[in-house]
Amino acid sequence: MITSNKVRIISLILILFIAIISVMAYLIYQAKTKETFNGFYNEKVLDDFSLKDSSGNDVSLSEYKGKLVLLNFGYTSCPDICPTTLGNLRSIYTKLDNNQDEVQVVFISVDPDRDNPEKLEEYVKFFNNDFIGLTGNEEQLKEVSDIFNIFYFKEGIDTDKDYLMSHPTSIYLIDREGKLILKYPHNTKQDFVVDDLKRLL
Amino acid sequence: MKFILVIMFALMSCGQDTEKGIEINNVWIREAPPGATVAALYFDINNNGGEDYIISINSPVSESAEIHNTQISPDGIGKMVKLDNVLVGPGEKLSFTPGGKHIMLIDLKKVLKPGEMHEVTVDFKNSGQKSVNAVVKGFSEGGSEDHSGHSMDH
Repeated sequence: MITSNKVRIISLILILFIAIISVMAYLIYQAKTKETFNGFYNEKVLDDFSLKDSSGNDVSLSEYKGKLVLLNFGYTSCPDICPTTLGNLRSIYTKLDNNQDEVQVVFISVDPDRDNPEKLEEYVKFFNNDFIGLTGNEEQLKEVSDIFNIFYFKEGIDTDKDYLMSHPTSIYLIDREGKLILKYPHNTKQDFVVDDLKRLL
Repeated sequence: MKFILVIMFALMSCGQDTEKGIEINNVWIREAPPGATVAALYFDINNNGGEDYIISINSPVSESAEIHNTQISPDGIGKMVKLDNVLVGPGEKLSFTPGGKHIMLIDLKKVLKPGEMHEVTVDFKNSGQKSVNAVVKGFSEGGSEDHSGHSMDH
């Protein structure tokens, strides 16, 4: 009688122990998958959108399914932020070596008035021939802004031809299923982004 | 006697300071991608003299130049703020770097190629004009990553 009670208690303790370990393991696993990334975890299912590439073709985000997408916003008359970001992306992309074909870098111009397709193409390819520059009309860009929950606008007065723009400065990392997962603040260390990409590749 | 010596030393070192005045170092322009009509100019200022202000900048490579500060809001939206002048306090070291204060060279007159040197004149309210040479840096030679020790907080 006593022994069977003991067995019961020991089994109960064992079951409880296993349960606690399992829960802990699960929590650690979750924490690891979400928080050991260098970027800010920012999971968001993105609606598909379509913009024009430099040849005038419509390009949808869904076309890059199966690849990791590094996306950023800017304009070619941008003096400081955009060249810094694209320069960083160029170095990041170079560091991927053999995995480059699994990553697509996309630059979205929010200044379609000045960034015609040819200009955008020349600008983006200067950083890397594999990079893609996209833009669209106001309506299309508004749709993209809503999807990413961002905004941009012209600074100063409309008649000024040398106007500057306010625009998002982060790099957005989209996974192979087309879901936004990570965000990198402006000028994040290149190796931080490379490490995350290597984990996802 | 001691007191007079101290005063003399103080005066002498003061004089030296004003003589040394303002130093402008690490002057560089980031290579402008094709099609770009603007470029950014960066430098370090070391003020060994009294309070002064940068009031304007000009260079033969561009039609005009403005002092700008890049500001990024907590939600990641970046904007350029035009500054009329920049205070350089006595003894102050000031860095113009990517993502911070910089000179925007507007309407480039020529294509800037890495390795080229171009004259830049910085006009100070008290110290007058100082001309320095800026080197054009390409994206593969430090023109892209900010080495000022930027880190991310979680």
